[in-house]
Amino acid sequence: MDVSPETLAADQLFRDQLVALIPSLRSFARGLCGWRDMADDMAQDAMMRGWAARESFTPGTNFRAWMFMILRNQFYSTLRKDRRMTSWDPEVAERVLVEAPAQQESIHVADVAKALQTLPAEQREVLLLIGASGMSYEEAAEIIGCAIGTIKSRLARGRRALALVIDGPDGDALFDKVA
Amino acid sequence: MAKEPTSQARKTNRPGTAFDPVSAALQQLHRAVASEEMPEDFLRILSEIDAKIAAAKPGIAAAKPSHPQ
Repeated sequence: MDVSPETLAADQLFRDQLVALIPSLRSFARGLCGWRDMADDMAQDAMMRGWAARESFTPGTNFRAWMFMILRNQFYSTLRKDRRMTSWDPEVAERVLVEAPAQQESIHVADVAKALQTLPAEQREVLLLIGASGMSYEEAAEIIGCAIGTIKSRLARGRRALALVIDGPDGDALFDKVA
Repeated sequence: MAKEPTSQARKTNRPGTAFDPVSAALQQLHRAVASEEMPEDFLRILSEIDAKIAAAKPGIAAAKPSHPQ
């Protein structure tokens, strides 16, 4: 089959962007579902779906947002079929418990990871996109498909919910300082 | 009276910036996963993609996936 040089170049660029994005895709998937193996399965599925649909991606637009949308759709599709995904992965807890002291985080990372899995998915995904991946409100809104105001609202609710889970009813005081 | 940080909590404030403990913890979670070695399954998918790209190049023989299964 003849393929134009432009298509080949676009495919190569798509592939390179995909490779660079794998760590972030794995991290987002892990945060969403909490299970390492299931998260990696979702990330791999998103990669293959993205590659299969690469002709629908417009070069020059936000590739990360496009791939995260695919992964997010995969998550919600799987979530509807398997409610176990909201469970906590003990392997993750063990690992971050070891790493957290060296990082001198001001609250225990394992507590945050565990608390994340107790939140509604719509709050969890916003915390992951903005808090963990460092995306802007605009990019998160594009991925989730909602207004920026909705993103801000979910982020605020998610942060307060995390505070309640981690520190109890007084936890809001911790978060009000940086809200 | 200000609330004492939690038992695990010790802040690493930088001058002029408000330390955000939740964001710091979320970023640490992200880094922990992102820094893991890439599992073999991901490498296999990339090999398959590379093979398809190579096969589409004129005059270049299609490369075989390095991890056929």
